[in-house]
Amino acid sequence: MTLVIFLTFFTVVVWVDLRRVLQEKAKKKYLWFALFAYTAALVVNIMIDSGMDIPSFSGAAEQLLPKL
Amino acid sequence: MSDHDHRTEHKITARQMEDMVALTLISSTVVTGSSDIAEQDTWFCMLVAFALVIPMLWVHSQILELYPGRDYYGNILRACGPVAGKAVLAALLLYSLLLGSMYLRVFGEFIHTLNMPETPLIVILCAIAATVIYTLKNRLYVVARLSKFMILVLIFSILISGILGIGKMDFNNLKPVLQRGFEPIYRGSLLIFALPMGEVVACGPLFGGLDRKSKIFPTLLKGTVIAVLALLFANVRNLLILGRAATIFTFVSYECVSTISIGEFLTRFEVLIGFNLLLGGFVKTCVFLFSTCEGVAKLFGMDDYEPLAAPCMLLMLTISQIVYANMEEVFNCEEYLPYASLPFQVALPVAVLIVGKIRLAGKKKRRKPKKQICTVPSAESGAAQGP
Repeated sequence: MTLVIFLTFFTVVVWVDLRRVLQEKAKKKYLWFALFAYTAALVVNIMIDSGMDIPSFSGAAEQLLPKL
Repeated sequence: MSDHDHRTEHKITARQMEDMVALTLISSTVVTGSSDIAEQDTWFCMLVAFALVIPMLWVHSQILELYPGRDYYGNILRACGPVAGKAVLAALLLYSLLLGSMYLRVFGEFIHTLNMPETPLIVILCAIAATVIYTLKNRLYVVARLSKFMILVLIFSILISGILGIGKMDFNNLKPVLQRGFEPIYRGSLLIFALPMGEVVACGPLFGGLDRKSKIFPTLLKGTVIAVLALLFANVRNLLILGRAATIFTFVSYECVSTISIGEFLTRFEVLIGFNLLLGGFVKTCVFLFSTCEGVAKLFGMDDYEPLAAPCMLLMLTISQIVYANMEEVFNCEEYLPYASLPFQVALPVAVLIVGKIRLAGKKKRRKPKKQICTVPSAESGAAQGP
């Protein structure tokens, strides 16, 4: 359910944004970063929804950093 | 066209910038409450943290004035050189990205926990993300103009909740002052400095769009003063109404204002707190997203930040889902946050300023014209020449 909602949002954002980027010649140089960001977001969300145990940033920082 | 282009029409006034800075610092803290390490002395910790952040405001303003253009990240690149500058830039933009993700998660959790428990968190996060992307694609000056309106609503709601709650206040809750000594004051001040005062580092890139006639340090200082006064008022209100019980609640201000009512028919004033979080949190997310986009643009030599808004926001949305495992981690992060934040909030900006000043002084020395040695003719040669 979470992944379906995210994929819907993701599709709308990517479609609207990529269309603008590809239409304007001056913005094509942003394409590589946009594709990297979209791919990373999609992959990580699929990993989260598939039940993969991804350690949280906060949990890792709590173990590595000294306490106040 | 970038907001840093001096030819753009849409300059941000000093007042709008102050409001943006204030909203960036206030937003989540006015709802969750500041650190409760010092308990009834938290108001004192706020004042100490404010005193500690003033030198950092000066540091950020000096970085902005190192070179013409008031381009925060651009000045870092020029000051530190291409390699070290890009490393510092990468660290600061990752810090902005992480902070933005953290706060996006907190805002989503607030709405999910208190108002919409059956709505999946992702729906709330996507709704906030979509609005932020749309706003930032219409340029930073839109956020600045919104801030001017939102700060009034936020300050009004804080004041009205305080005034309406006067009947429930017990001024004995402020006592005993400094009962537990200075150790909790030190820890509380450090925490409030790290969260939220030191986050003013993310406001540095905003000043590229500031009206050239306005000065940077006074603008930063006024924004911070507004934030401190609002947070102080909210904290004291919570303490006077809830007393020591304030330390057990997750969203202290929400619980405090929920006790306020006028007779039997005017109740549920806690909706004002929801407004505060939405308005302040929205601006805060926009500021962190702008800081991230601007950092990415400068790092990779891109002209404009606007096409990066959607990709960076999707990254922020994704990271917000893995930054905390649960709400307990949100509040446990107080224990280590100062140590995690201080390198980005203090060490890096101070190092950049020192290096920048040294390089600037070296350049000025090299540009100084060489002294010409004038030879004065001696009396003998003058006499030999004669009339």
